[in-house]
Amino acid sequence: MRWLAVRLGQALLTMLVALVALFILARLVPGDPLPSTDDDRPITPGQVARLRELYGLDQPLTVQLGRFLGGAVRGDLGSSIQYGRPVVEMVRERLPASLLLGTAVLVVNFSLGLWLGVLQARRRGRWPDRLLTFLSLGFYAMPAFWLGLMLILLFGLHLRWLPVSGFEDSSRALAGGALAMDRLRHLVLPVATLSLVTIAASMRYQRGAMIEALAQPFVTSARARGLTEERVVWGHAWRSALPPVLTLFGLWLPIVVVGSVFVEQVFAWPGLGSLAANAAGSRDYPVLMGTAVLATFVVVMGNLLSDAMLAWLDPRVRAT
Amino acid sequence: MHGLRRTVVAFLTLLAAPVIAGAQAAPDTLIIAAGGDFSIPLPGMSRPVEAQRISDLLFLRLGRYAGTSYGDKAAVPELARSWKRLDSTTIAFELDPRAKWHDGTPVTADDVLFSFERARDPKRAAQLAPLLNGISSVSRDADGRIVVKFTRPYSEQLYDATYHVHILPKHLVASIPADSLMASAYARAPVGNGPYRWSRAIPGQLTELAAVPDFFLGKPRVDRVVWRFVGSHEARLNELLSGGADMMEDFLPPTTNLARLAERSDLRLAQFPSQTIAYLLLNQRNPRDTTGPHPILSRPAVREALALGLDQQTMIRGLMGKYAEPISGPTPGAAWYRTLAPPPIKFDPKRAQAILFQDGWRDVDGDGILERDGQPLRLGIMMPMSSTVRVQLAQVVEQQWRAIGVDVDVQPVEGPVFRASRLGGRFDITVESYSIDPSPWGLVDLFGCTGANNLARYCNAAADSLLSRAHWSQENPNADLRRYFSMLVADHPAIFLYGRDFALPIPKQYRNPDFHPESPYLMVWTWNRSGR
Repeated sequence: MRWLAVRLGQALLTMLVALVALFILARLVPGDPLPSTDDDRPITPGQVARLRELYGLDQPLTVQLGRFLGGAVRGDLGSSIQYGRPVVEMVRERLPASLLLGTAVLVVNFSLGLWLGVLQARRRGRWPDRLLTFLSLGFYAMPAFWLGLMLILLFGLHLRWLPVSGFEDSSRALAGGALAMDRLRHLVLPVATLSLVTIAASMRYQRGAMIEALAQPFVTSARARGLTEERVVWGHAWRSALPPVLTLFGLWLPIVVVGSVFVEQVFAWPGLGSLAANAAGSRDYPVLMGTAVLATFVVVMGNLLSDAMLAWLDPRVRAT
Repeated sequence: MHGLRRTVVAFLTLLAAPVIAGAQAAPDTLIIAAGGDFSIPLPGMSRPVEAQRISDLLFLRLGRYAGTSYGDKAAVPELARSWKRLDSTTIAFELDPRAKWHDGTPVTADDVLFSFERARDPKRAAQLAPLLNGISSVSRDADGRIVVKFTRPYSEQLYDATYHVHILPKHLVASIPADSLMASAYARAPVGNGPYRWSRAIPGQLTELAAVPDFFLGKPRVDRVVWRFVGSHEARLNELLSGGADMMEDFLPPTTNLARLAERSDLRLAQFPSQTIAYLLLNQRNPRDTTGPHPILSRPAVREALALGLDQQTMIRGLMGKYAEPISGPTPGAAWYRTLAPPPIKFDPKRAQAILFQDGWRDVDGDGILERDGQPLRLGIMMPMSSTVRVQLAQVVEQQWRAIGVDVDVQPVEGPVFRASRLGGRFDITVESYSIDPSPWGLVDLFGCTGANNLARYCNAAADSLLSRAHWSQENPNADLRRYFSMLVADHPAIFLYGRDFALPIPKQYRNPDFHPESPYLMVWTWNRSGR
């Protein structure tokens, strides 16, 4: 319990340091977040000054930082400069799409990816292992946006099997099973893109750990006791091959929340990744920091969770 | 293995089923793929252009812009069914008694008074209030008419009273403090009085409007209008080509999209003039010390030579095809005053070189770049990097000016950096793309000595005086405007490049859709699909 409390304290401190660093870095980047004559109807420099006052941008950086941190503790992240809407509301609206995409990718990577990794380890050096290594590394080397465009060209524009953007049909309001099926159809191409370019990592990690585990004396012992091969692999070897994969899981958890900016852009997926990217591009500091708060929280908590799971699997970790 | 194959086939069939069953948009729905994102569509508060267009369908004004800002024919009836000039400074508007809010409440004179009071308050409507300076009071007379009084007689009174102010529901908005309106429940589901009512919004995805069946000016023929927010241009095009959208914003450039449009045989490209112009803004201030004049661009001879050294026609055809026209002044294709500006400047590089020579510019070191008093003729052109056409345009300018001895540094920067540099006067030249107000009086803001958005600090009191006289006169302003544009073009505060047309893909089924110069979708409620 003490171990967990210490780790939690470290996690909160890490989060605070990360947020302060992000806040300062965001302000150091040149550019003005306030609209001006670049917009369809211009506003005057005097009006810009009033807006600067409204959003507290006329205050010293330390005052702005204090207000941001105080607000974050209270759950108030201010209002978007670009859209004038509360940031918490904007983040909450985008979260479901990000969770849907990210969770689907994680499920694919940590189910199919792990299964294929185990398969490779069991067929080490044979053609299924070589073929899967070739394919997974091939996809791993591809830029996600390029692969996404290719899938759109093939399945969206040429075959017309799947929708090319968004996460639901705009032409009608759906509900129930029809809505679920529509979401599933919209999910296929972005999930396929993200999974294809990232699944190699979970496969390689799992393959390496499993090869090592299968060579352990306890596996030989299990086989000698007459257990079925499936029982030996999944019941004994796999458990000891999990720790490196769990570390990877902790590192990948942020994908669930912030997704992939490129893939969200290509598929016009209304997630937090594109929200953060747009906010960065327009210097919409409140939105940028709002997404940063969430992303930092998930990164820190993801690592804490994977550490906790490792500690549960291997008590020696707690001693370190 | 057979089981796996069966599962895969079943899965694909399930996914493709809606396509096979016909997942195209319902026949009464128009889907517009646009950039940007969901924004509160309230009049006067809607920053992104998409939100303004949505707001235009939700909220009406007393009258709709009729193609000119001059005289008593500047508007056609909307919420006001008629108006009468009482004297040279007073117009009385009679509200259409059939007009209703989408919650069923009648639109009243109180709503109009409330909306004007709000629009004229600089604290609540900082952008709008200065545009209504010509109005001295708005009241209701004994007959229930709206009486608008003006500070003096002038030719754009009707335009000022009808163009700028959308009418808001007093019974729903008055109780909301101004600073919390954007976060209010009303802002999330606004109740308007236009041909379409608010249906739903999915941030990052879409905003949907539904037709008001008993709209007092006639039942809308398009039942639903959906704005699909797709940020990336390529993704937007894919959405259009895959059948996920019927129309697309910013279809051009690039002109290569024209060939791709052929992939959808049910679409055609509609072209009509817009209020948008593009120009190179020449800074008169020194970017390093904005209190002093620009060391190069404050010289009239240099500005004239730069204008003569640009082959507008070739540049425009290459970048915009036939969807833009060269201009000499700030006169967009949809503007009623477009014919009052001089003809476009003729490309004449030899004359440009001669003018620079006379001004003392010589290529002393033989590097092809002119110098004067040891200072090279070197200029930076800044533009937002997100605007591909502006970057390409600057690259063409770079090539053409190089031929007359000008060294150009093309500077694509992020939008916020561009804005900050412009506001601070830290630039030589910027590539501007602007939607100009229908009234030429709006130009005082951009090029007037006291114009709040005169970021290049150009000043010609005589030109300002001409524009002011044209605006505040009761006479036909054309002669004054003609002289104003001549003066402006001769001074070259900017090099005006082209007036851009709207180029919108639209389903062929729509017969003769009415595209309004203010917003292409303003009259969507009158569009008619063949067979309906």
